[in-house]
Amino acid sequence: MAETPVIVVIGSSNEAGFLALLDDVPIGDMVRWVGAGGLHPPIPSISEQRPYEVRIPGTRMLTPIRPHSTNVERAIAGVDGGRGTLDYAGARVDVPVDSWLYIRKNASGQAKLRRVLSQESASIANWMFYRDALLGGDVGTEHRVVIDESACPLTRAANWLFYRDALLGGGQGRDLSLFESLTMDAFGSWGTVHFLLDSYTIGSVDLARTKITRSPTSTAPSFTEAVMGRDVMFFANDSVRRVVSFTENSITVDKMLDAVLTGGFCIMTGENACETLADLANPSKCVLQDFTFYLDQNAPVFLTGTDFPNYDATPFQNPHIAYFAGPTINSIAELQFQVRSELSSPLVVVEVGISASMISPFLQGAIPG
Amino acid sequence: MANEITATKLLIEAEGNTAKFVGIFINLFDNDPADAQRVERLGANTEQLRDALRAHIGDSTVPFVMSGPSRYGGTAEQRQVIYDHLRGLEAADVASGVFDARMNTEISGGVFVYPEDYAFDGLHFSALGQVKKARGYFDTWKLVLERIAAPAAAASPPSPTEFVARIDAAILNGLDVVSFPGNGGQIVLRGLDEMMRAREQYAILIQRKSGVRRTLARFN
Repeated sequence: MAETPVIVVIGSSNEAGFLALLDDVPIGDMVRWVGAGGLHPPIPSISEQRPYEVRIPGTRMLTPIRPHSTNVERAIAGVDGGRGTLDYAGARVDVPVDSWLYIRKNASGQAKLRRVLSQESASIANWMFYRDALLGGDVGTEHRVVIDESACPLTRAANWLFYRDALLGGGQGRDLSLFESLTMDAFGSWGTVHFLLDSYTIGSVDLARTKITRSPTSTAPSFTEAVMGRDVMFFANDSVRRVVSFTENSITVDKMLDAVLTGGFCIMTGENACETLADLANPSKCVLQDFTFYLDQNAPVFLTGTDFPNYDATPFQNPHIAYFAGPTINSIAELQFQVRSELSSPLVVVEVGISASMISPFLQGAIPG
Repeated sequence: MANEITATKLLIEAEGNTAKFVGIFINLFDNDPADAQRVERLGANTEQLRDALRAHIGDSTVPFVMSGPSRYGGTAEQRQVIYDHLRGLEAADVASGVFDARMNTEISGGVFVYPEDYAFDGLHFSALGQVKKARGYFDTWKLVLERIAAPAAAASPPSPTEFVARIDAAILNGLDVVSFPGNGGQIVLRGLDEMMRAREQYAILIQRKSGVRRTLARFN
């Protein structure tokens, strides 16, 4: 039985890399971290080279698994001239209308999300586009479409999840707190986005914007006890809320929604995922995964393995997730590089977000969960 | 935090290994200078946090590397009080260390010197600042490990000549911090300015000793 060295890194926005832009990292430092490998500049600045992903062997990050569902990857066999329809290789997968697909890479380098409007045999047709009107450029065989079901690779997700609603405004970071119960505000991963098959169309919203009645035309099943405590992602206004009560055709969420909603929503599964702070103690709901640099065309945030999720880690930008003006970086990259050089065994890093002003007035006695 | 430590232990055990926590790095306190009450409680609460973390890990000697506020939150004087608290913890525990994150906070003609260490908000570290902070963490961590490994040696301070040699080695190696026993405690020099000033003083001591020896030789 060998010893595996572990370091714990605790910090607030300064440790999270708030406003520390990746582009400002000297190339020499970046090459030390990721290896040479023809990476010059180490981080591709043009969209064709994205998504960019480099895994650093020898350092692993504790990472909670986020709410997800299973998926299967299929190679894209072809797209129509208007790039609104694609064919995928392999057997037909039944993809319900309104579920989401994640196009891992297309010619413009963007990992994209598309919503299914209908499907035919071995194809998914008539996209309803979320962010762009069309898929960018041609789609080749290296591109993947991720569809629900089958084996689920362990999702990678954020460890900086201790947010509360101390808002600084749009596009700004949010204060970190240990006192907010951990809510996995969104789901998925950046490599493959996972989603639930059951999605709903909003019929009406009450004046308080907390009770949402689904459209009577929806074909999705009625709400049951299973939705209690689950997170609901609303498609139209990029928000996620938690279900606090339900009827057969309506749900009530914990906080007022920002605007009168239209469109749809889905309820995420938390099976084998961290949904509460207590879940973080469950090793079946966390993984140790390689320290990873990831940058997506649409990503405003640079991922170091456990920090902030980005746009394409989640189908919608989440109001509970901090994001910044550009790809950012924290001290973990350099610290793991230096510490690892002193060790004979691969390193494990545990990163914990905590408010910058929580240490003095509040912390008494036992460690908060 | 406790849960994450638990999960980490269990995940490593599931691989057939045991977790060995080799360091805790904490960068907090940026907002704590905001009022006197927080400032006053900070030292004691940080000590509680450190001890609780170590207890949960099951190792009372896990190196605990602290980094205090850099530029924002309170006044420079309040930030100094926080650093005094943290250094008090450092002095009382051989396995604790402090990295002074107030890098380049000097004001010259109303302008911050070396602003490249900070982001455009003037408060948070830039990418360069993050790298520097990581290196400061690392240097401090190494010093703590040295203190843990050689407490007996730490009890006997080096000679002034050795002091100078160590400072020279630290400067040549680009270290941000150098530390050694002396004056009944631990002398910690942070930054080039402190190192150079200390070096001058030790060099004077060496000269005085030589002078005494020459005088004694002459009169004997």
